[in-house]
Amino acid sequence: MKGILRYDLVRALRNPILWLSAGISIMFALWAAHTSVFTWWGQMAGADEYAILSASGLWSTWVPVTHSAGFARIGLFYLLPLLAVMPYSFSLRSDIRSGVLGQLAIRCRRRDLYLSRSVGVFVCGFLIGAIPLVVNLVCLACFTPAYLPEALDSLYASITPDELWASLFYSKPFLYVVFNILLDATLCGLWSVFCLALSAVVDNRVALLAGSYVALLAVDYLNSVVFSAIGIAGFRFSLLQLLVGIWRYPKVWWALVFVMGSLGVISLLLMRWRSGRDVL
Amino acid sequence: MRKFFRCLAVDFKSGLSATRTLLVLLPFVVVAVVAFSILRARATGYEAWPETFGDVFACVFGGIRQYDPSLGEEFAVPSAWLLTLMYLLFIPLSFPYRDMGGMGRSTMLASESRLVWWLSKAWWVCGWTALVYALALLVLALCSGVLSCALDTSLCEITPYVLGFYETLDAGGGNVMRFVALALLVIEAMSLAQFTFSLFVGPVFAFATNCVSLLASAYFSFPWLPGSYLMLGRVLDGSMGPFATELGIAVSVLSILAALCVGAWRFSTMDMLEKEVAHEQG
Repeated sequence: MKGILRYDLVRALRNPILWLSAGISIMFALWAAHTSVFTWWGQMAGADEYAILSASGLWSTWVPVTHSAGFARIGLFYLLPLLAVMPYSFSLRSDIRSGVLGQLAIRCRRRDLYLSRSVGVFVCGFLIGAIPLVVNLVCLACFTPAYLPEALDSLYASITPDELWASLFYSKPFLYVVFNILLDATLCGLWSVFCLALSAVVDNRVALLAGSYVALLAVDYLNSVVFSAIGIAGFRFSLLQLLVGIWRYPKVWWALVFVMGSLGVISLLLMRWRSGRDVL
Repeated sequence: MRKFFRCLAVDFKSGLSATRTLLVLLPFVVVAVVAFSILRARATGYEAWPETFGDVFACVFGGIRQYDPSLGEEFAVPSAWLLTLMYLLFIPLSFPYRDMGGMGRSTMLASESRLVWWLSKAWWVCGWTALVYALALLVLALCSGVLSCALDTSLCEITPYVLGFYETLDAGGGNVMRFVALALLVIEAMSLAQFTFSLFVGPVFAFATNCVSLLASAYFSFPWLPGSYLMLGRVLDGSMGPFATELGIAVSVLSILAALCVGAWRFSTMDMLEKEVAHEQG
């Protein structure tokens, strides 16, 4: 297991598309930080006491929880799932075509082979999800003060009481940030593994990567309209919306668990089905 | 010329078999978008909406009004508009690129010219986009029929309120006829630009670029972003200026010409062997 895992991790991390995707997401993260910092400086230029709200500090201007980051925020979170699958999610199918999978299958157990590939893909997705959020935070920390967010400023900070981990945001914001980075990175990782598992049945790279993204847009549309159409209080179940800290609907833990569980279980079933089939 | 038409005939035949599943799914996407838009409108009190074909068309291509971040309001992503357009752009995405190997390579060798092959593929992309758009319009017309709407291209009085354009668009002051033609041209331009861009960065990155371009059009409404002319509300309410249609046509024609020229140059000089290996490996 160790050998094949090392092989997959090295192959995944040396993939130039991983770093190209990370570069694109970092570009959006820096753009978001730049916009937030200039918004904050604009408020400071007003120079009265009221302008210095905790809502304009580091934690409240971090890209998932701010509206002041402008288009960069929308662009980053709408691109993340697509960038996460680009580097390594089609590797299983391309290895079957090139015969590499057959070579690997005679050198290690099937279970180890598919498990290590899933770990490699998950790590790629995890990095694509985590890196831009960390870069944005570090960049903001260089320019904005780390005021502890005050619950009184929740109108400006936009984290409402029914939002997931809202109390943590106002008491221990660093923990909130760490949890959110882990959550987003895990979601991106699971999404990449899900696409890897789908490659067991989808033969076309473009259909797999771009098609799965169109499916995500469809779920996102459904999430945007279904609750207002039937007239009940909504929550987020679209992956695109779950990645963001604040959105129109609150993030609830059971929907999050359901989405993560569904991605995990479907991936597991597809990979088990694939592992019982011919590798040639 | 004969070789070009032969290439085109082969492309249309192969393209149909490559995209037929997506073509079958298109009516479901359009019907779902229309159905949820109507349900949402009815949930907010607009019981009698839609009244015309123009209204049903606006369910899909209505878009959002011009966004002004300085007002402090949250940006609402136009998900129906984005989903439909991304689906329309997704249909002709894969086939031309994949066809650089396999059957397409044989066609290229038989045509004895890369330019002929490229032009044939560019025509296929344009023709297929028009076909897909026409299919979407047909589904919208059928939806209008099912909903007992008048086959009229004007918007009814409450449509600006349903779409959120009540501050900028006069009640009953819109007709979608010109926009239908403009949207076709703009989608053609985006589709062809996507194909050309895929020669440089691959189809998935080209698709991602189109996605960012559409999101940016919704957020900024810059006149040089083609997506700005794909929002019915913005074209009708004058957000894109008094000559929005003419400007949209100019931007689209320029994009098509640029995509054709750059694509022809790129394709005549690109390393096909590398693409062939990439194709074999997926």
